Amino acid sequence: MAARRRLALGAVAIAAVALAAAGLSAQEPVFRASVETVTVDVSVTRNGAPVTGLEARHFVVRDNGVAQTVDRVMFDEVPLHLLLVFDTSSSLGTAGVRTLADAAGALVNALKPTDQVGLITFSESVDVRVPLTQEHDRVRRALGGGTASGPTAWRDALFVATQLFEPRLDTRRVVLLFTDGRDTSSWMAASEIRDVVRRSGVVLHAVDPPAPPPSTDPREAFSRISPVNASTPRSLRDAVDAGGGRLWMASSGAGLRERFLAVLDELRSRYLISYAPTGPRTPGWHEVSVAISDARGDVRARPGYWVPSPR
Amino acid sequence: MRSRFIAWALAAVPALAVWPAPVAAQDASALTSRYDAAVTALQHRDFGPVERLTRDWGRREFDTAVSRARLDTPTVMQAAALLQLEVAVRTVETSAEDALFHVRLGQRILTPLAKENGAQGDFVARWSAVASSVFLARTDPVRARLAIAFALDHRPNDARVRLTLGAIDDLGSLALDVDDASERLVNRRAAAATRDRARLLAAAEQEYRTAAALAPDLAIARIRLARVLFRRDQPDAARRELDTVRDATLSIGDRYLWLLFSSAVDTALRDIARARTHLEEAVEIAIDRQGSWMALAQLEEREGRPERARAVVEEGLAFRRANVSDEWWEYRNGRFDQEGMTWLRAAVWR
Repeated sequence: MAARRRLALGAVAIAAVALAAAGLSAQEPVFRASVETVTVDVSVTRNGAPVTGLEARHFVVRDNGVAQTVDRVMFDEVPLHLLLVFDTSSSLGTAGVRTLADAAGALVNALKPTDQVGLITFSESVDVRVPLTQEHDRVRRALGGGTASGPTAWRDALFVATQLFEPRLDTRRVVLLFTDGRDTSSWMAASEIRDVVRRSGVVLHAVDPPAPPPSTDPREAFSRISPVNASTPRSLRDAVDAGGGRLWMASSGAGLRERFLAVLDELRSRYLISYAPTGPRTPGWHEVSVAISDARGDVRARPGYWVPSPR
Repeated sequence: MRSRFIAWALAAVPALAVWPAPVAAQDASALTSRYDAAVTALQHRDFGPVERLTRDWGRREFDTAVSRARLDTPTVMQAAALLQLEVAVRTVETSAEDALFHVRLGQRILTPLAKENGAQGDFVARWSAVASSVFLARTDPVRARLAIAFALDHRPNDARVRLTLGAIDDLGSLALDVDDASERLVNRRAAAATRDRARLLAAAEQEYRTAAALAPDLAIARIRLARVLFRRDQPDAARRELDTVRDATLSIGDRYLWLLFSSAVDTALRDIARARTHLEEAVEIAIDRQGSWMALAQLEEREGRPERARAVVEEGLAFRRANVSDEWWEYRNGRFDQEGMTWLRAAVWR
């Protein structure tokens, strides 16, 4: 029996499938023998509004510079697998935690029954409060009652999130990270997180919280007086770019709920386009460019995908 | 000349502009009696009076009592200084400035003993290191430096004093890691931060070297020195320092740090197998610390073993225990010297 091995790398997935594989489920897409498939999660907007109705012929894709033929386009048909990764460090403040819980609750309420959602919180330690589940109530319950304390380890938290997704073709794997980005406790260096996100294949959106009131906590004051921690760190923005998502700024607590719902709207209005790649399947990073033709719009997509070395 | 960062940070600390006003004589007598009783109680392991003083008194009452208290023997001086430290520990969460006030009172009490040799001098050095750690634990290197300055003046050749100074410089440099510099920073500011970081790292290296030379069996000085060298892009030198204490008898926490730091050096030197071995041992000896699980999972992911990385993450989360600290977090954010506090109490208790 031919072995079937699937290497799903999140939003950009590569599947190598052989014929006559036992155990194919009816829900899994069927591929030709010895064909790889790459799936790219793409956002197309015009003046900020999603562009709908695009077909395969509208997408112009290059994989490491080689033109590709898009053979499948899906729009809002694929369930979300959404991991909420929330900063609960002292920089947020207890009021900030409550605002965060409220905004996240609104987002969870707007999910479809087929979507899965999970919750990770972090200060210096990373806690998987609820793994990915269709039981949305579990996440709603876990959102309440939190307090803000401790330093921040967003890079380690994001790393954990990237490791918790099942490698599957038929889902959108998304991380929504909420943090001010000042990492004071992670083992992972700032220079490494971008490549972790690249290799994972997840789509990463990050929300920068509104500035909290001045803190009397010297730990917080200390981190703020440092000139290098004045605004969103480059490592966070690089990670978001690598994940093909966006960095959203919340100007106020009330704005946070709007931001979260806007993130969900954007996720719903993204295309999943697939192609069987031509060109060399060299291990390592493959740069993917996506443009549209016969239509106007701004395109945002993961910039590529990772091909692991053969073992 | 102080670095720009230190001068800037010091400017953020409000000075003790006004010393407490004096108390009436009759009240002062009552305060002093109560203070003397609390010192005696502390010597008999009774923390109740200390708790009550902390709750009931302000700076004025403490200043009055210390000025008039019967601190006429080294034993009583040490007990009174410990009392002030106990109050500082209980006060720092609500007011770092109040905590510093109590540390200053303790320094005043210990001044007659500060230059003594033997057990009395050791007590002063140890007390100062613990006092400094009250602020290090709150990631407050500015006040931590103010707290250790007394010991530096009187006991500059004490290994623990030098180790504490190294930790302060080390912590200060961690806040200036420009890896996370935002593009909005003016290049000049980022360059200034880089220079300050380099200066603090160099100072930390020197303090750790001095501490290790003064006390060759103080392994943590070598372990921290190695980390500073690693951060100064000198992995070979870091490896040599770590190797000097490879076979030393270390506490679990020190061994754990040794293993974490060794794995980072091994990775930089591309000895991945050795890095993995060190991290697996770190997981084994400190299974409830998250740092080693995280480091091991990240190593596996980076080396192209995603299934193994995922498994390590899931195992680590399963062993996760709430409210368990981690020496890596403490190194990164500062720690309270609980061992030193225990030592001081034992020295004071009758």
